[in-house]
Amino acid sequence: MAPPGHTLDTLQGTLDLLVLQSLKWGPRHGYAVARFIREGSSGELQVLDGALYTSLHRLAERGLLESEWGTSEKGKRARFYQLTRTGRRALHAEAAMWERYVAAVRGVMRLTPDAV
Amino acid sequence: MSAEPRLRPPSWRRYLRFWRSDVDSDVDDELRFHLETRTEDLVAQGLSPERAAEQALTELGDLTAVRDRLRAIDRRVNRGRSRREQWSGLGYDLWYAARRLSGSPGFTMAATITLTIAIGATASVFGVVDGVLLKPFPFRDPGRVFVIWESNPELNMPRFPVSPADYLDWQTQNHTFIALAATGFGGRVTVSGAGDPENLGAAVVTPNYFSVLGVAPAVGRFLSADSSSPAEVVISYRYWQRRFGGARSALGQTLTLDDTPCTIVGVMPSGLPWDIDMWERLGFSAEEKSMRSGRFLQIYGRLKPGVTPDDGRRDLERIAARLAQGYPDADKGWRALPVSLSDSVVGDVRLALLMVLSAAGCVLLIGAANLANLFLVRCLGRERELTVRSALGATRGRLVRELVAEAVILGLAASVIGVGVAVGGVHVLRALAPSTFPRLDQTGADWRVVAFCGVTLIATVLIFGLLPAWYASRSAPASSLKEGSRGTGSARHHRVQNTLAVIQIAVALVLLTGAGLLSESFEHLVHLDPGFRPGGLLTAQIALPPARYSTPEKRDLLMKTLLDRLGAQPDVRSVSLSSAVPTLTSAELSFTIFGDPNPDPAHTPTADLVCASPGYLHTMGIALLRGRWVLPTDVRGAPQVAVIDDVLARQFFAGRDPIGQGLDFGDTVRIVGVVGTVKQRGLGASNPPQLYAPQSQCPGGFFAYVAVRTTGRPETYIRGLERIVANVDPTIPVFDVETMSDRLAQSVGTTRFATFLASLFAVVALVLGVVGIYSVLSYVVTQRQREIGVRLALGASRSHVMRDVVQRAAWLTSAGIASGALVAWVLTRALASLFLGISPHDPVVFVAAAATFAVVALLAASVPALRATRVDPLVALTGP
Repeated sequence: MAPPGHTLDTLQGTLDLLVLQSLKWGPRHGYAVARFIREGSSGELQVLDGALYTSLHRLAERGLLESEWGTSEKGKRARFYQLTRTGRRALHAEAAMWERYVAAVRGVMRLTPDAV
Repeated sequence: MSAEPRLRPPSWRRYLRFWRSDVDSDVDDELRFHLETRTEDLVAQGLSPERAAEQALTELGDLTAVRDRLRAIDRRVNRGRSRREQWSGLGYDLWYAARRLSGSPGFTMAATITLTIAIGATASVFGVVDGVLLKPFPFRDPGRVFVIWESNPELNMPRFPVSPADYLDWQTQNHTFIALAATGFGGRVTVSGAGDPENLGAAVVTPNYFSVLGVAPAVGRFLSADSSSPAEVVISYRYWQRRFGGARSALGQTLTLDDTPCTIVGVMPSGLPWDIDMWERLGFSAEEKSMRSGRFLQIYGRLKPGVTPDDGRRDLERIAARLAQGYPDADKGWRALPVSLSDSVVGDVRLALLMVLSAAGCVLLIGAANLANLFLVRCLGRERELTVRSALGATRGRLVRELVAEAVILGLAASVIGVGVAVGGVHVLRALAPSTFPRLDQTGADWRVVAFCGVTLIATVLIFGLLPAWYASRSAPASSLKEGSRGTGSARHHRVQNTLAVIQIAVALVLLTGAGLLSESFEHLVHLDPGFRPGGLLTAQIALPPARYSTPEKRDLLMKTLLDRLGAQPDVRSVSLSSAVPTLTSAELSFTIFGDPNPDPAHTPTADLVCASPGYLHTMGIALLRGRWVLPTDVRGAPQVAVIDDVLARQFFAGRDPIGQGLDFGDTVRIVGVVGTVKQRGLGASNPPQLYAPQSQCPGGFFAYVAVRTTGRPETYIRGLERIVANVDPTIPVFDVETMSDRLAQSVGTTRFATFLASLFAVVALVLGVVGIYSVLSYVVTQRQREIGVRLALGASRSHVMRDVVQRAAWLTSAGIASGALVAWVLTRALASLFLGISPHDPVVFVAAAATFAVVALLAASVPALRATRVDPLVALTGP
């Protein structure tokens, strides 16, 4: 569990990227996506679940995901999401952009006065 | 995850969500699942259930806001994408259906032609029925308008005009009608003042006529009730268009009607069902107002709001009973008979039209059965393919969708052609219909006909395309999967096919029998002896302008001059003038036998009166049985004489010689001769007894019929006739010029029309029924090719094989004929009134229809039978 006060606010765009990434290896239902993000960030990222579902639905509206109803591992009716082809392409693009962004920020943060 | 979720919803559920998308509960379900699962996980981590639920909810955020947001997004998605998906899916299906159909041209053509014929024929008839029976009259609330007759059933006068005194009493004494209006019958008037003089249909009406009917003037106003105002006239819409080009300046112009100048005050709306162009005011003179025995008015009445027709009828009956008591001489035995306006206009043809519509409906039924059979065969033919696909995971919904798509494509193709057929058909029917058909101008190929086509098409395709499709996709016998099997089709499929074929044959036989009976009845009708010789006769009407021929002497002189001039022509064999000619109603009057020992005032005999010139007998070719005919010496002032016909003689003078007896019908006449009966009212109608009086001894006489027996063909003499009359007096119009043969033909026009159409449909039904047999047999042969091959290989003779097919055909046909004959038997008895003069169970017709069917069916069966014999056992056994 993250210690209180250490939650990182995530921007909506980053949340979309995380959602897409969570579906990279196959379809999941909404709760599984939430769990994936929580566990993947070791509890650091605490997303309001409402925002997560909004992200899922918006991505579905944009055609990056498609959803349909199925049965969960415990036999309950749940809505499953999976990447569309467009979604997969978007995931690659967004991930690449994120890497460049992170590298750029890291680059500036590591700068010492001598290197300028 | 252990259970792999299905990634594609079944196709048919997509359609379901098309209609009622369940966005709200879907969102709820998703969120509920999340909360439950999160709660479970937290409990597993050690929290109490209540705290776990609380925390799960907190982690979600504002539940209501989230739910609304999600719902809003999903609804947007549904509206846009889902619908596009459905349509593109549909387009996909249709495209492939079209490709599949073009791959089996035999089926496609058979189905399209069947649909087109069936729907085109029915829609054409509907076009006529719609115009005549269904389209509303241009009257306000026409259901409230009634034509009121006087009726005396004992005197065999079920519908008779009304006398002025009775009309006025009805008007003042009734409680149930807003108003009663009166009009004269079938008048004509010579109109001049706007172009050449014409003779047109005219009506004299009481001023409340227009409000009783419920019409509003197209322009101007209607006749005023003020009898002191100068003469006014209302003209018809078509006259207004024809003579004045639809200009408002027509109002106020003067027309001369029969020498009386009248001012045009208004124009009637279009679409009226009568052949009238002029409406003038009807006024009663003092003596007319008290006239109770002279019946010459037609009465229209509009019911008060809230009053039922039964109330109106009872009210009028009450008044009539009171009048019969109060004035027994004139009104005893007379009742009031209200008839709805629509019955009055189209009542005569309604039965005939409905009969034709039923015939067309039968054709549609047969066509639909054909279609069902074709579709069933097609489905069964693809059974193996469908079974395999079903085993591989294609859902039944998808298969049904494919078959429905094919039905839709066929329907679209048939509708395009079918509408064309219907439009053409309506025009053809209009042209063929007799000119006396009411409301013919209202029939046409308009949007209502097209809509009818569309609706019928959709219904037919849905019921007869979808049903077999659903049926076929239901059962998937494992046997069809066996290698080399063509699938013999289960016994149930064959039963359905056979039933359909039998139904087709039965219905077609009913039609054929009915048409045969109708044709026989019609033949009988036209070969009835009319009592005179219609061939070579030309007839026309003339009208004497009252101003120039005000005295009887002047009229007599003119008639004599005309007869002399016409008789002197070389191509005229004989000529006559009379008040009526056969097929045109003459005046009906009642008479008493002079010196009759027991005159019964309640049963006054009546007869049709014809005032005729001496040449009438010879011109018409009527047989003289006893005594003499009218002579030139029977003039005004000479002793009044009359000639009676055979029926009158036998009815009233049985056993004694009528010559010399006296008859009293206002004037007393002496009977001088007896002639043969003439079908005065046309071939189909019943004919009352006839009375002939010398024309110069008859009052009135402003109208007359000229009858000319020509040496050559009567049509060639029309110009000659007009020329002679014009030479004598150019102001006398000659109109209604027809040969007698044409008049006779027109008098049975409606019957001929209906009979012709019924026969046409019967033939179409026969063709379609035979196609049905053929397709069933053909399919059976194809299905059983292996079996036939085996039998041939085992030594069965080819003729044996053929006999089997023929036997099956015979069985089907016999079953169809038997059930059809039974139905026909019952139906013709019920509709016996349509078949005049013949027995509705005439065995000749029944046997002939059955025999025709049997022969044609056998011929149709011969093709598949021959095909069966040509099966090569080797090919059949080794399989495709």
